[in-house]
Amino acid sequence: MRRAGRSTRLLAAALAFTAAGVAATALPGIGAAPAQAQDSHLLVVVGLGGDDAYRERFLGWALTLRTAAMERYGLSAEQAVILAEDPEMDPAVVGESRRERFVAELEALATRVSPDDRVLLVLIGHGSFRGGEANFNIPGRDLGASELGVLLDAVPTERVAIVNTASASGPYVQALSAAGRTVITATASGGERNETQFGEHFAAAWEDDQADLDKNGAVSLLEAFQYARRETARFYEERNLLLTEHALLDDDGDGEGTREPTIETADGATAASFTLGMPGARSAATATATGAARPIPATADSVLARLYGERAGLEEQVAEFRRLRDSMDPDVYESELETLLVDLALKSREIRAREGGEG
Amino acid sequence: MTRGRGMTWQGGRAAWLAVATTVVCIAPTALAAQDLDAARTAFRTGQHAEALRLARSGGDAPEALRLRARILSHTGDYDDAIALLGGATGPAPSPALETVLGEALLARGRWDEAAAAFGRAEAGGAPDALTARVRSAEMLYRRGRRAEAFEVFDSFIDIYNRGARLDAEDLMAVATAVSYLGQRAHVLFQDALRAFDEATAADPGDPRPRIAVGDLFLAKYEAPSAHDSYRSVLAADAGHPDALLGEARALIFDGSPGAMTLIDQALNRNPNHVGARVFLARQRLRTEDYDRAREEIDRALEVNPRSLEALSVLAAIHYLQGDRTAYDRVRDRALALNPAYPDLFNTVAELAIDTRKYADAVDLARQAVQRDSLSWWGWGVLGTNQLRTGMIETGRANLERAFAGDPYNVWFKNTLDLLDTFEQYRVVRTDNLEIMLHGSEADLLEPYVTAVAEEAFAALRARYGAPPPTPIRLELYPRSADFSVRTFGLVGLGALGVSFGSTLVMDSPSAREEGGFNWQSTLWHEMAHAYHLALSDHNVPRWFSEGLAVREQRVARPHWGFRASPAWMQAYEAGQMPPVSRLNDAFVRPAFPEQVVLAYLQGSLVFDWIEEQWGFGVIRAFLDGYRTGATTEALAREHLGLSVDALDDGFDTYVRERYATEFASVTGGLQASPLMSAAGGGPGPARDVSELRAQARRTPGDFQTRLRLARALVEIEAWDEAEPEAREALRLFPEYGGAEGPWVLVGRIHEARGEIREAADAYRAAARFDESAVPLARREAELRAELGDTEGERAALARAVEAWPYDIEVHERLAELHADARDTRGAVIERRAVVALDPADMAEARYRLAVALRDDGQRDAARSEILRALEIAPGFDAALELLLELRGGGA
Repeated sequence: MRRAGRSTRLLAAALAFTAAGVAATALPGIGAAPAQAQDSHLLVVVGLGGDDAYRERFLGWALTLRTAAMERYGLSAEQAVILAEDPEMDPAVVGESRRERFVAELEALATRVSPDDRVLLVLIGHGSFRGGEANFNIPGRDLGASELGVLLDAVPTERVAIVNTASASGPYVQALSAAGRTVITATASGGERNETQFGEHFAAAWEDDQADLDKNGAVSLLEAFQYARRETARFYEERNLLLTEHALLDDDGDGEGTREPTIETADGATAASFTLGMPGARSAATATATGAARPIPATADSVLARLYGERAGLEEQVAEFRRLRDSMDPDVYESELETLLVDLALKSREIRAREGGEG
Repeated sequence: MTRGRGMTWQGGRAAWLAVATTVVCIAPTALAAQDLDAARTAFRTGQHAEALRLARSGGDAPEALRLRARILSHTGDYDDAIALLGGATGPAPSPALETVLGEALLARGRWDEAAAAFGRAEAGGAPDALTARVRSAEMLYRRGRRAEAFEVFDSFIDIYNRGARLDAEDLMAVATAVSYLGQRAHVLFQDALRAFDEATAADPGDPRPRIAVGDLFLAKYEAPSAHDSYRSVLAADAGHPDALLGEARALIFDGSPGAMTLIDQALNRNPNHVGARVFLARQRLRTEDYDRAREEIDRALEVNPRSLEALSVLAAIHYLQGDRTAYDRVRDRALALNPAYPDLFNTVAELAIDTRKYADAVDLARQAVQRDSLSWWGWGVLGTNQLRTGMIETGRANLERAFAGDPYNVWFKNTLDLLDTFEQYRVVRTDNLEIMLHGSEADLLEPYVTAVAEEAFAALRARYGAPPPTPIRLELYPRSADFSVRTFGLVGLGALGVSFGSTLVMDSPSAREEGGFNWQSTLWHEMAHAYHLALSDHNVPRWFSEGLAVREQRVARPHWGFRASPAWMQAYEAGQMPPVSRLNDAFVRPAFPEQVVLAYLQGSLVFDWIEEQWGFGVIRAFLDGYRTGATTEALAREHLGLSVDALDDGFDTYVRERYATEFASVTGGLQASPLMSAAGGGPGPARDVSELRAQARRTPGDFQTRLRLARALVEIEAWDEAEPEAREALRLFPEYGGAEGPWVLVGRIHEARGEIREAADAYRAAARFDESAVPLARREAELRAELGDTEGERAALARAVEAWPYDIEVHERLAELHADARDTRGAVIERRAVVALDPADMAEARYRLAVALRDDGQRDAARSEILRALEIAPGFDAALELLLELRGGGA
């Protein structure tokens, strides 16, 4: 019977995949390769507010982000820097967000960043689009997207992400797109010139676990984007307003942003593996290669280290297995998924028992 | 013209020469010509006496006689026109007068004589021979000799294409012929419009082509363009009966008031205007005023006993009164005149629709298209009413057919466009319903809709004793424009829901802004209609069904439905509301925009009175009585023992006793206070406090003044002075709800003083009189939470969800409260709502739903849900543990 044969073939493929996955869990580094120890650096540049209300609002977002980076992800004050229009507004602001200081900060970053480090540059404020070029408005002369690209190229790590939360920020995607670099903009084009809400939700995403959508313990850049995009849409829906900002994410270097990226779309995989670290961990946790599994905590316990690796491998397998969903019989898919998840659940119990928690 | 070669016009160039010769022979003297021009101008600007006087100066010259006859016909003096032209005894003195004579004879239904006159005009080479020709063809068409008629109409295309110089009169004839041809090839409607426009260009003062253009637009539901055409005529002659009739029809089409005034003006100019009489009769029928409808039709048939339009409405009168013998007799009389006449059936069908007899409309429209397969109107009526009665696929097919024949018809197009979107909807079936929900909100709404719809069905069944035909089809549209198109083919309907019997159509909650309406209350209202229509076999008058449905809302939930409002009391006291016996007028022909809303309320109070006084069985007996064709008058006498006057008086006494305090408090200061909004909203902006204080001293019993003063005092945070004012307003009008009502002011005052419990109680009191007070419910919930009153908080949040189910946080909190109260089923519903609202943290939402399902004993569903959570977030430890638990604790 054709239908049964097809199901059997799919089942076989799924089982073969699962078997390969299980084998991989025994060999950390195949299914869940831990990266080298990484440091994170956050630079938030708050542009011109125009009036007190905006100045306070924008700085509030920046402070939210910096506080989360330091308190949840363990970044030091030197690693979480804010430049703003008026440095007197808050002690956390280390300098004015004029072009000269902005450039100086980026140049300083270039000198202290290691190749495996992560750099997150966030621009908060108003943007403009004139003469075919998008600008982020800062005190004094603006720093154009193309100039910013040159400065970022000098930072000696590929794991750089830039988030422009301003209006009319869309053109930054094409201007700054590069291999390994994640570019996020609050708008899809230079024509979306209305005030944006995206920045507020992007900053809030790092505050707690609400944006940790895959529950791996850490918010990734992809999750922060997804969270901010949905909450922004909800903001407009609840007020019965037309959505006037359509955020984009590009991380495959093709200069084309994606509105709804996931870990499975062309844009999204790099951002999924970009985190500021492991919440609560003072020592650097290592993110897995794909970001589909929770970062692996550092431990001197070799058994625990093996278990962490195996668990991460299983989590990676679930992420991979999800890709087969549309090509499989739903019942078979669910059954196989459950098998994998039960393995994972048991592994998690084992870890908790070893860690001293409840089994 | 876009059509290919047709028949050759037999008259040809020779006939044109003959026409020219005739014109030369009958040309009046130069002086008379000047008078005639002046007469024509006077005629076209509505100065008929002057026009006649000037035209008389032309003596017996044919042009002068022709103009005089036209003026006489225009004012309805058809017999005088006929006599003037000698038509009473034989042919007119000149071929040039035969066409006008024929038209006057036609207006009197003297078909054979009219046909002879048109024939003589054509044969005699009259200057308006083309008009005579098209009139002859129209007569053939009117007699049902369609093939012959179309042959003649067809010949006009060649006349036009030949490029001969055509004057305005000729272009009118061409345009008229081509508009008939449009039935066979729709593209010709455009050509007809062009020819009418050319006629206007050739003689800008002639109103006829512009009226014809208006009619053409209106026939295609293009009311704005129709208005433009009619109004351009009325600008020159404000009393032109044909333009007034067209404008009145367009106003009715728009649902705007004023049509009856225009018809009065039209009949003032021409009391024998059959079209206006027929229109008037149709309007009378819409209010189920059969006697007055009959009076109008009798007068129309007195003028023209062969008027097919009048006979059609007469047939409808009999049909709607259930007198099938008389209906058959009139129908046969019309069909004897024109065996292929589909519009008798279409007319009866449309009037049946006005009185909500949709299944009858289907049967009638079917007969129309059987008579004439080119009746696109018939196919459209058939299709749309099949859609209304739940026959979706057949209805769509017939509507497609109508649209293929008449693609300019926006009703057909809009409805078909809407049907194309049906694939985006999900149909959910319950015991008694088939519910269509848009895919984007089906997951969210399904549990709420199915619960309230089945509850309404069961509760009303218990009350009325017998159910309507099932399944009830319920459609919810997230766009009001789609609901509007589904209802009447066009956007812009202001209603919230419509019942076609067992098909209910309404706005979904997302179609309006938060607090815009309570969709569950609306659903109950429409379900009540389904019962009323079924039990009365669709004979229940509209006022009765609407009023009773509002009462059913209040019976179902005390906070639902309209309540007695100051606006209604003011209108009632000012004599702006009709008595019970004429309440239907307010629904079908409102005298002012708010009258309809106020009539819903007034109607519901009638049933409060009847049920309190005589019991519900009487209401049920009325419905049975309507089923047999009995009138309200007869039923009131039989079941209430009241004459119509006593019914009106009894209701008046009832409401004045029931609302004695309220009446005194809102109508005493009628002069000082403007009419409050119909929806019971605020009475206008607060004025200067000292002025309001002074006014309150002058009129201490005036509710509006007290309310305004209380509001002004709250605004300046004069809490202690505000409270007695607000409470006095409450004493004067205890049921006044709304966001700006006195209960809310009392709540704000207590909040300001930190009296949380009193504030919460005040907000709950306010919500008793406002079915869609979502912010109030949320605020009350917050206060109850502060008090630790979880039951109170739960009840308040449930009210918020009832009217506005799109707030994730409210669902989450309500789910927690349900779970705490061990209402596991309620928790599942709320958790499902959270998932359906696509929260940012979907894994968490699905996990919590799985927990709720587990607690409710739905372990399989819980397992499935937890897998979906873990598919998103495989590292979600709590979910992994739940998976193991659901599997029995281990692998």
